[in-house]
Amino acid sequence: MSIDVRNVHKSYAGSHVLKGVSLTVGTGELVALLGPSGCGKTTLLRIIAGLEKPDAGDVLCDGLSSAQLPPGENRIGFVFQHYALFQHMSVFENIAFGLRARPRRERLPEDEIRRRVNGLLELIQLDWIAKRLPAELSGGQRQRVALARALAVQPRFLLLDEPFGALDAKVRLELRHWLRERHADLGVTTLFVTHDQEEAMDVANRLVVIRDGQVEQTGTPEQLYATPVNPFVCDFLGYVNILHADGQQFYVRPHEIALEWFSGERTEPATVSAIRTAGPMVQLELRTPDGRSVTAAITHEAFQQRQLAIGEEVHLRPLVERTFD
Amino acid sequence: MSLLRLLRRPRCVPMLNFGLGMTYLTLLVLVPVACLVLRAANVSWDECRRVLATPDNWAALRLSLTQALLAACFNTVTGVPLAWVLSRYEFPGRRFLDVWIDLPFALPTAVAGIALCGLYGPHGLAGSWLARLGIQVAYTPLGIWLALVFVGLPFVVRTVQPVMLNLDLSQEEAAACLGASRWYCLRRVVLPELLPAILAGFSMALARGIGEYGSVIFIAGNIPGETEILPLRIVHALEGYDYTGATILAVAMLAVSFALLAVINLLQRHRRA
Repeated sequence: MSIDVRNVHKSYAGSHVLKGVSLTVGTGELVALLGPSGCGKTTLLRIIAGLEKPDAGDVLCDGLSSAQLPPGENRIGFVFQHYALFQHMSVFENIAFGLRARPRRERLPEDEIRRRVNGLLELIQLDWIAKRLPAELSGGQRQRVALARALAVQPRFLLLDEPFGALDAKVRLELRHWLRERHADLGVTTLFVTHDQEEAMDVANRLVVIRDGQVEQTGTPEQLYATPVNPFVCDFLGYVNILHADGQQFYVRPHEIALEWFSGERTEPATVSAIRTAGPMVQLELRTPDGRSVTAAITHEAFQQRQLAIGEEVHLRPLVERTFD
Repeated sequence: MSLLRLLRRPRCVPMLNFGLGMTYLTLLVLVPVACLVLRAANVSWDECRRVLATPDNWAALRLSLTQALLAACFNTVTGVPLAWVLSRYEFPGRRFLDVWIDLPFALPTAVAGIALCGLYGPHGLAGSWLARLGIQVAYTPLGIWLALVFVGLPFVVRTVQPVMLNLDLSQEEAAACLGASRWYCLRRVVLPELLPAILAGFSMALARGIGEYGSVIFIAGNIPGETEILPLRIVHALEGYDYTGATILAVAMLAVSFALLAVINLLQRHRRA
């Protein structure tokens, strides 16, 4: 149940969207394809699903090339960004679609279809709205129906295109956790596309960061967050400051900055320009003499001890050794 | 209270919209139709029966209806695939074809009638060729059908095409991913989405076919009882100063058209529920 993408290229109307992408998704993994919009991640997902053909390279699903099979025969579940539910069919019929679409001799008996669809309706906790039309559902409900529809055919892989993109913040958070739990229950190999690093790190076991049609880095959320291979990945995975000290550039997260009283080895001076104490950490906005702005986060205890005020001068020292020279 | 404020008051707006729409429709449609019906109201039942039971009138009514129905069916069967090709495929001459579709809309119907007559008449290009095969088009119901197919096609294509262009392609992709064959997808996913538009196009082509006059009369030959359409009977009645007869025929035509449109509307509503 593994996906193996090998050196895939794709161009649209002269623009090179994918420039030799290779990646693997192992059995039972939950992987996020993470990248800014327009980086080619959705195109890659569509190629894996067999909805588009690569110009060069190959996609192997369990060792078989997916390009040679029509999308339906790969047994790949695809959840579209805007769900693509069948508008004139009830929730029940939407989920049953893949089971009813099989040729007559392969089709399950009607009571088996009903049993399976009802099981899925329970799984997505929407058995009470089985008879409604998609237009009568909320965004989160539609998303879950789309997922159940894809799962009904017992896919080997599940591909999700920006699964939470069209939902509001609270529903998004709920569904994120729900999806992770369902993945733990079902163990379906899953690959999803997102541009939201927080979402990717929250849901996935492994991330693939893509920029401009190329894979920048692959690894667990912890690896990528702590040891990014280049400034792009570092910046994309979370807020990062650049400190200039000792002629080097240090890429540090807000909580990886120490505020020293005096200038010393590896420090850069800055003045406090704003203080925000609401939240789990105290956020300090600082300005360096050359006009760059730096955000540092310190604990409330440290802030109490330090008694910082706006306009005060401090010396910033990076707590981690992260440079990309 | 100023009109502007009146418009802003949310509860007033629906009534105002209804009022404006109603006034316009009344002036444009309802008043002429009401005049016709009022005129018919003075006519006795016996008179009605006498006019409608005239063999020529009865034959003309039947002919108009059958040929309009047949032509609308044919236009639906050919127009839907044509709209599909125009909205889904890119091929040389597509734009040209797209413009051509509107030609029957733009062409004066009499011009179309004369052109058809010239082409399919006994000495026409297509007519003489078909005559050798033993098929006579001009001056037969087949000719009427042909003229109605000609004028009705754009109604189907132009009603269905925009809906096709707006179809969500990802629904078809979703169906393919779920293992549906292309045919199954067309039948269960695409067609249900298009059905209201197809029905609307069909009913417009039908309504146009029932009332069509200009393009038909030249090719029909107008043999009483055989190839005389109902609108022509009305014209004949008027020419003979038989206003009562004309009114009765007009109301009968109106009633039939109205009933057909009502049935199609009901079908559409039934589908939505």
